[in-house]
Amino acid sequence: MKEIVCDVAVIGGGPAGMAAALSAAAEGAQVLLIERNEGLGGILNQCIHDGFGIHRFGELLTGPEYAGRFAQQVAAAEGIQVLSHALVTEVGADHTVFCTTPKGMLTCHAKAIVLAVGCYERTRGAITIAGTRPAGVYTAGTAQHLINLDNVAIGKRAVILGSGDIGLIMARRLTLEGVEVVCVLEKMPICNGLPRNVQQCLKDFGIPLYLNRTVTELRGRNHLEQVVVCDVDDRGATIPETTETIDCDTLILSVGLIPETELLRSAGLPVARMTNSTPVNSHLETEVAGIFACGNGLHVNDLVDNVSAEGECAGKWAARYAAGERAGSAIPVECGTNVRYTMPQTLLPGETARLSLRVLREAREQTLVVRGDGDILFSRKLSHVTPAQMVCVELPGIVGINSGKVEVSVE
Amino acid sequence: MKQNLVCFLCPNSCELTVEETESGLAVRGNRCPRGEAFAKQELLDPQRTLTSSVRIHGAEFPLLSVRSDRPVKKRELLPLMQQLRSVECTAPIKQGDIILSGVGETAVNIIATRTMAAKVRGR
Repeated sequence: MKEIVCDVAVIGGGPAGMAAALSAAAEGAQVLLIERNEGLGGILNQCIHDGFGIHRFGELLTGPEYAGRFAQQVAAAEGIQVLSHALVTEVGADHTVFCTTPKGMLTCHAKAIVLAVGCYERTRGAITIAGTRPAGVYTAGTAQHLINLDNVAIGKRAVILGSGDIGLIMARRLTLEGVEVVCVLEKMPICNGLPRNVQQCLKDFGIPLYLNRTVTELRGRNHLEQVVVCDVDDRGATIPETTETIDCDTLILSVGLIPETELLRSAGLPVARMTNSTPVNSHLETEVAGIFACGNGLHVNDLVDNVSAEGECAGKWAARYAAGERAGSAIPVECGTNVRYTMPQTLLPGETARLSLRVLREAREQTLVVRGDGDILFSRKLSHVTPAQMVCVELPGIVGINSGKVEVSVE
Repeated sequence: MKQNLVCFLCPNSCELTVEETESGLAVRGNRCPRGEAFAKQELLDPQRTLTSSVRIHGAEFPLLSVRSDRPVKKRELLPLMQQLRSVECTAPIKQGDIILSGVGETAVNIIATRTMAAKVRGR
């Protein structure tokens, strides 16, 4: 088995991993960037629509263009070796990375590791729909890959279940490709996607979005022929009087994304329920010293600009860890009123941090408040918050907390 | 006439209200001047960037992602898609290369959004 050494091993060559590799190299680290596909870019390569990078580049780019800008910087940077077609199978708490490559097994001994592994989609199995198991049922991202990269047509008449952004974007994509999109159904009383996608992807093409409505049964022998749909009440129970059958040959599922945690687990890291990933401090360092995480593998983001920013943070601190710098103990962040989760979950005293959070409920004219020992340490007005839109603020350094914890609320 | 819109020029997603008044269109809810221009454009002549993919030969993938270099009129989207269906190109292609020039009412160029190298033989 081949063995190599490096300062920082970055796992995943998507937007988080490329940003992490660049910032680690900028700190002078020797970086190994490990990607399982042929090229860099990750999921961005199949996101051919525009709307990426307004914060970072000041213009609306498509996914491949956004990825291309980073890939060019990676190619030009000194100190980054890209290992493509390499699949990481295990990460040890001792910073050993095991991967399979076309040339055989490879072990990398790194001083620090950045996990930028992305997320996967929830499937039909995860949401339990009754009925047969016909062809024609796809997750939105799989449909996107087939249509945008593989030149595979997937059907003629589609229903979309779930109002996540990829589902909305696929509604537009399918329509442009000549597929009839009957409707988008959302079981929850609110839309999960960004408002701009509801406008551009559904309203532009007259595609109806039904809230509090879901698919209860699939029908079709070999291929999907019909879906049975039904309203749900405020507790999620179906209301049989509202049952309707829709003829369709395609069902697209856009019912949630889950961070990929297999490598986290192999390193012995815990997985928290709220983010479905592991807790980190302000440096995005996990509970195993020297292992950092960023991007959708850490918590599912709405915007790639935030993913890149997290990658930069993790890469920088991984390089400094490799150079011998160690972080001290951190202050836990507790979730107060209307806060579902925060990331990071702990703050390093005296250091500025980028705090991301999601709310539980939609609300207007709110204030984000950080409290310690009963005092307000930071506050920021927020005109409108929804669970679909992540809140992100720059938090100044916090010091001298006697109780040893801070609380974040949106009130 | 009053209309509600969501501005999609940036992730702030401002909720705009446009009202027809005697002195023209009045826009409310925008947090920056671009929102006002967006709302007026949206009511008078809505525009979108067309993004799609075209057939490519000799590359790792069968499709090359493309977009219009400027926004097109919203009603042009489907006719332009029809036109893109018959377009084919051959690798290598560089991001920004013009695949189709001066198409549609707005005479936009369709440009590649991804660099695609020619496929190495025997792979």
